[in-house]
Amino acid sequence: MSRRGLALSAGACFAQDWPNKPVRVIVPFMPGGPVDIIARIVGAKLNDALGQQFVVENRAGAGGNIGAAAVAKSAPDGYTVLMTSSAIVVNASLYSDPGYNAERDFIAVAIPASQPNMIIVTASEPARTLPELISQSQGKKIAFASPGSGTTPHLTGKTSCASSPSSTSPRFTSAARGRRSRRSCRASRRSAAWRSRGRCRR
Amino acid sequence: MAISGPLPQVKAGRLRALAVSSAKRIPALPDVPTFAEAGFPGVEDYTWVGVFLPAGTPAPIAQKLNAAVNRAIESPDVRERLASNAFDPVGGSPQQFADYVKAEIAKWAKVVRDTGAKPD
Repeated sequence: MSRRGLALSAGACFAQDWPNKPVRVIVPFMPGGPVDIIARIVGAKLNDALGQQFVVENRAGAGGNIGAAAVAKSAPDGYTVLMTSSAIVVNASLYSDPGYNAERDFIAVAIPASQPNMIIVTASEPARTLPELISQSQGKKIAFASPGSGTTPHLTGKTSCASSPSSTSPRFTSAARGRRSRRSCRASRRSAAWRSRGRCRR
Repeated sequence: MAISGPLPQVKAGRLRALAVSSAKRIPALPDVPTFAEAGFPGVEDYTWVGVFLPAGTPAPIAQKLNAAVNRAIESPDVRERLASNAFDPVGGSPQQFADYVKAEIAKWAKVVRDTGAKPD
């Protein structure tokens, strides 16, 4: 048998035995968040189905980049798994160097769950609909909160800030058509339960 | 916001949801319109949870893990717990997920460019 043939059959045997020891599931966010919750729900089922412990380890920081980079550098032996959110695809362009290449450094294995984002206001807000919110906020600053940089809600919020007639984004241009107000967006550095706060001047 | 965090406050009436970013209305909030219904066609964004392995992991391991995750999300108790957190089960093959990841990277690169979004 050639050396390549030997290597292939060794890999196949190795994979057949997998998992024969506990598997680390790196969640690059804090305990109790949505990714952590899903990782623990699915992880418990994997324990039962594959006969080994799937141990969730939270390695939060840098919008999920610290934990993802750690997994990218881990041995490719199936005993270190990354369970993360769509932040991984946003961070590919949001950060100049997230510490990994989201496509090249990982095998995309499975997508257990998803949920849409939403725009919410306090119950005392007079706007009853999204077009009303946009029209009533002309010329005013709007603060918005999101779960953090790199999350898709952060960018759903940012896109709504960018809805100006000059914007090249097709996502909000229908509502913005015909309006001439100046709008700008910036994210301010705040640390709170909702870590990313943005502000738009409409 | 992703939905799961503020959902209880929305249901209790302390917060009001103006639009959800899915293609269809969600069962948890049947009265809240989609972005398209609210006048913003083309906005369809999701917060998803994905499973990844380091590049170079033998393909049979990825297949085995994929099959186990897909089986897990078929089970009624997992479906119930996903639903109570306002998540929908997705599933599919590793290739389908890889294609989706690629499309998502391109989609969000354009949004980051268009909005000038920066990290915190």
